[in-house]
Amino acid sequence: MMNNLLHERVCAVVAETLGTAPADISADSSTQSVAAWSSLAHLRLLSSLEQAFGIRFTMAEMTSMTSVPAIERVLEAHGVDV
Amino acid sequence: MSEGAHLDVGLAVHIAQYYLARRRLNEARAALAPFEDAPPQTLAERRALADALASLASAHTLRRDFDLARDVLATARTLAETPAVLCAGAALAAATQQLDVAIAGWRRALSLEPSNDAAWRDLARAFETMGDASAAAAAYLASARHGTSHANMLAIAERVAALAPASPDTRAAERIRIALLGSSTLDHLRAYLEVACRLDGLVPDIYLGPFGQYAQEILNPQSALYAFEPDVVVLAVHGRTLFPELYDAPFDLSVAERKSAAAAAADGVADLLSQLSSHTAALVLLHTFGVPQYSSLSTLDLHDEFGQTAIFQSINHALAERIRRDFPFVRLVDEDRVFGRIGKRHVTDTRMWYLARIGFTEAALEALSEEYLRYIKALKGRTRKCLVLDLDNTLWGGVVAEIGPHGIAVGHEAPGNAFRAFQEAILSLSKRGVILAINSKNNESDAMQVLQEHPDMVVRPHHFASIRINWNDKVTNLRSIAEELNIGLDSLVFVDDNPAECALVRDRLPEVLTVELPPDPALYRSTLLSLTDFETLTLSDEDRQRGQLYAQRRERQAWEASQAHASEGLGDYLSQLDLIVDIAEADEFALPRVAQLLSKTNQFNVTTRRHTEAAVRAFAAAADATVYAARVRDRFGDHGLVGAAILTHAAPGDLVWEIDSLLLSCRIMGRGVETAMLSVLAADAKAAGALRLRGIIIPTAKNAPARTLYSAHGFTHSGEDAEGQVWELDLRATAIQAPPWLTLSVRDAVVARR
Repeated sequence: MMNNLLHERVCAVVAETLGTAPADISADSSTQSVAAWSSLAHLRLLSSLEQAFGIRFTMAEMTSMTSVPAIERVLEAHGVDV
Repeated sequence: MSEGAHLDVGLAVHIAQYYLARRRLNEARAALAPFEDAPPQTLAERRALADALASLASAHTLRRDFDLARDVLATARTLAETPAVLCAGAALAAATQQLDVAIAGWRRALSLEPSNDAAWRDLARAFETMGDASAAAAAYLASARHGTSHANMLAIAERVAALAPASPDTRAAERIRIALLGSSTLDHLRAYLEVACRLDGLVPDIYLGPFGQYAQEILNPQSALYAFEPDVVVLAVHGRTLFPELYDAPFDLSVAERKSAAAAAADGVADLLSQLSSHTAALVLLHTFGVPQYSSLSTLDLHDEFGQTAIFQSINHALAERIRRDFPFVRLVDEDRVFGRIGKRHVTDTRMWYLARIGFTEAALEALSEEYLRYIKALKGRTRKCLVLDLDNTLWGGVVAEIGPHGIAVGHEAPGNAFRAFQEAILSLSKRGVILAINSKNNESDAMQVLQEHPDMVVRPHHFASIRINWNDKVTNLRSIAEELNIGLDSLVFVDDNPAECALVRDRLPEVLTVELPPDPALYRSTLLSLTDFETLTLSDEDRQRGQLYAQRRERQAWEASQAHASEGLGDYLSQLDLIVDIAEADEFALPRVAQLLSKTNQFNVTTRRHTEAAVRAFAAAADATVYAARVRDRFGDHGLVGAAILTHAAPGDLVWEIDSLLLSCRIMGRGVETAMLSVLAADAKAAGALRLRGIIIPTAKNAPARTLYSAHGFTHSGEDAEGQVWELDLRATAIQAPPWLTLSVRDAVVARR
């Protein structure tokens, strides 16, 4: 249950920030698979996620968060409660 | 759920939000259901319920359950048409391809809540889908204007640049070509500058040099930089890339080596500037080298003969000198000041620096683009010339017509000191060449009294080139100010605390920059100082004197007008003036001004005794003296406290009273005010039992106008004393009448009150 909710919110933030349709973002989405997920867009996304979930990532986390599942893992490690 | 009717609405909304966050929409609906048939009584509760239903409808829309969304929205609408309900309706319409309906909905929501930056973005996307690029760009910019997040700013910059690119059709006055060069990733700087320019009505074309290749770009005459033909080149090179040893280990060097390294650093940058200047006529904005936050000598840095602070200051100082001498088109962007405003530790997010060589945070980007705009607007001739100010709750706290000149807040204690600080900032603008004007709905006499006489005011009538204190609407006044000063409406900045007045001016005179002050006067000063509209690229002596020159012009025109009238017939002219002379014993408020008049007045001054303020206060407090203050106003306005006299008498019942001092400000001479004053002095002395009134004339090089005062009013010359001529009036035989053309108002019988 928890994971589904988190997944839904993460996908919404990713879609909104990258300017893509919500349907285009899924558990498979990553910097490799989504054209709009450029390196600059990635930085923008990190800023959006920090704001949306009220947390602050470490540099190591930032470099690891290159896909939707990776983002969810970091958020869960931060104890994000949806 | 009949028990639901007893449920608290706030609790139900809270429960619904809990389920909404977990996407359990049916449970959310159930939590709100009890109130759908029995709507709450209060408007606030109905609005809260409507907002919760709007969130639910939006969740249904996202799941593409449009029928459910429609149903929930219909219920919400019967409760209250809140902005959230309107936005949810618009989102549903957009999702079902009814873009016209969606746009109308967001527009209505934004008319109720213009600060909703998310709704502006939704509206922009709808316009984009419809293919209306310019409306979309405008809506994106409105979102940025209302303070959107960092990520949104970056996205908005991208969208507006794509939707409304600079093109050959762009009007030259709006076009600006900016090249950004530096040693870090400047993409975000480009985004913020793009938006900042557009919010000021400029259409920028921004060139971003290849990462870190600023030197190659500058040195190669064939580079893309020069091909771009920039109007402005920003050179934001971090000193660490030029002289790293002065950051990391300056104290490995001897003092002499540090000095020569600092000189070499400045020379290296100057070499870049001379290359730049020989290949482009652009305005170059060169970042200074900010003093690092920590020195390796730590607290002892300034104790060192040539510590790191001194090193950086000497580099910047040497550069400034070179630029003044050799590079007329280069200006320095002072990093220590610009970043000091936001705090240096907020300039760089170190994670972003290590990850992506991004040197500037959101706060730094805002501060930098604001600073660049100061230069860019000056370069594009967008400098505004005149600052037009409201009075009540703007220059001072409170409404003078309600609480009186003594009740307003301006002074040395809170909150009056905030208004004083604001006035100091206004005056410093005036000294830099900004013309000042007043546009206030007020009783002119009240307001002018404060401006002229309130001891704690910083700005005075002579600082203002144009004054409109009346009951006209502010739009009419602004037009007439622009006309009087012979400048365009687009040269005016209008500052007011009243949102309704600001909205009216913004609507009717969009060319005027209207600045609505924040509710807290503590923020007035910084609001004014953050305006980027008064900059010039150079400052001449004439600029420094402009405020004064305009104010003098106003006074001269008034004087010439009065001379023209005088030649038509003095009596007629004076009686048409509607002069009112108000004479009273000088109170606390008046005494400093009386002392000032005694110290300054040369022409109409019978004795020219320069009593100090302390001496004047002693006269006022003494039982055997009275200090008089005369205020004058006429149909054109209030002249303020312009006359003063000191009457002495040994004891009540003393037979001869003496006029120690009597004077008039030169701007009120020739209107019979002196006769009115003498009439009051004589009447008071007589009422107290005196038999004679004595006056002394002490001739000076300048007081010829005052020397005939006593002879013209029935006094007889009784001799000379050590200082001058002695004149006396027999109070039993002669009464002095105030002139028929003025209205004399005497506050109490001044002496009799004692």
